[in-house]
Amino acid sequence: MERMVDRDKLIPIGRVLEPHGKHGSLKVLPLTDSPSYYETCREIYIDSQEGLRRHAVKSLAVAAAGWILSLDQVTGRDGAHTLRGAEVLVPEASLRPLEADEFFRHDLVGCTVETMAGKTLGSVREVMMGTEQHLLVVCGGASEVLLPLVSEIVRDVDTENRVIRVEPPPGLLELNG
Amino acid sequence: MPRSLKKGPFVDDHIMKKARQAKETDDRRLIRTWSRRSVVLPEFVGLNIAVHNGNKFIPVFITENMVGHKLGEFAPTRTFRRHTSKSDKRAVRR
Repeated sequence: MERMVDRDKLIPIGRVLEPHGKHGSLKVLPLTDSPSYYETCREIYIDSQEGLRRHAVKSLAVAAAGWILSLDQVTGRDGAHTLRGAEVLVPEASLRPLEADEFFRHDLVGCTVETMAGKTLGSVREVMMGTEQHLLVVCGGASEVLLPLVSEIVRDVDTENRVIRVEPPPGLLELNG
Repeated sequence: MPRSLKKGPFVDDHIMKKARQAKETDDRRLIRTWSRRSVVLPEFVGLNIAVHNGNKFIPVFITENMVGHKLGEFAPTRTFRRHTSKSDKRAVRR
């Protein structure tokens, strides 16, 4: 069954790698931090060369190589083969809820960064993921500033208004300038 | 073979001196260092240290979880960069 849906309101959570077995199952690479959360997911969208389609999920199991996904309309290895490279998406409302001080990376990118005094530093170009702490890469003009994503420096994150307020320690803004 | 316990963790003298001074004066100023080999000690917690990665300084806010690790572990020398697309990937403010 197909339903018109706005592609911008869907979030990719995986990418189809290859068929699995001969009954139309798919091996999927999860693009999420919490693969097991989607085991109970009952419907997903697949964006392939044939376009965006909604599918009911027959089963979704977490395996060593990622997910093993079975869909209602995909039967046989040939059917599964046509979906190679397709994106697996879910509506934004189906994502795992954010906990305190958690942000989606794509929500941070593009936010304006300003100091507590109101001076604009630039906008977030990307979020560099580290083992212990993440870094906001802030671009303003020709310079690039790295800001650790810790509450002592990044004081306020307002993803609705796309503004991040920071209190950098002395010397941080001139570090690599 | 692990380092002998008798010796204690290794920390370069110059960063030790700067860290102690910053702690005593409660100075938030960034401490720049090239000493990636120095171990993070409990007394470094709360300091802002900029660790050189061979190309530029990477600012690191020292937290308790970093104690016992070396400073170089928090300033990667190779960065895998790609455009951030919409996905269910999250960043945590610690």
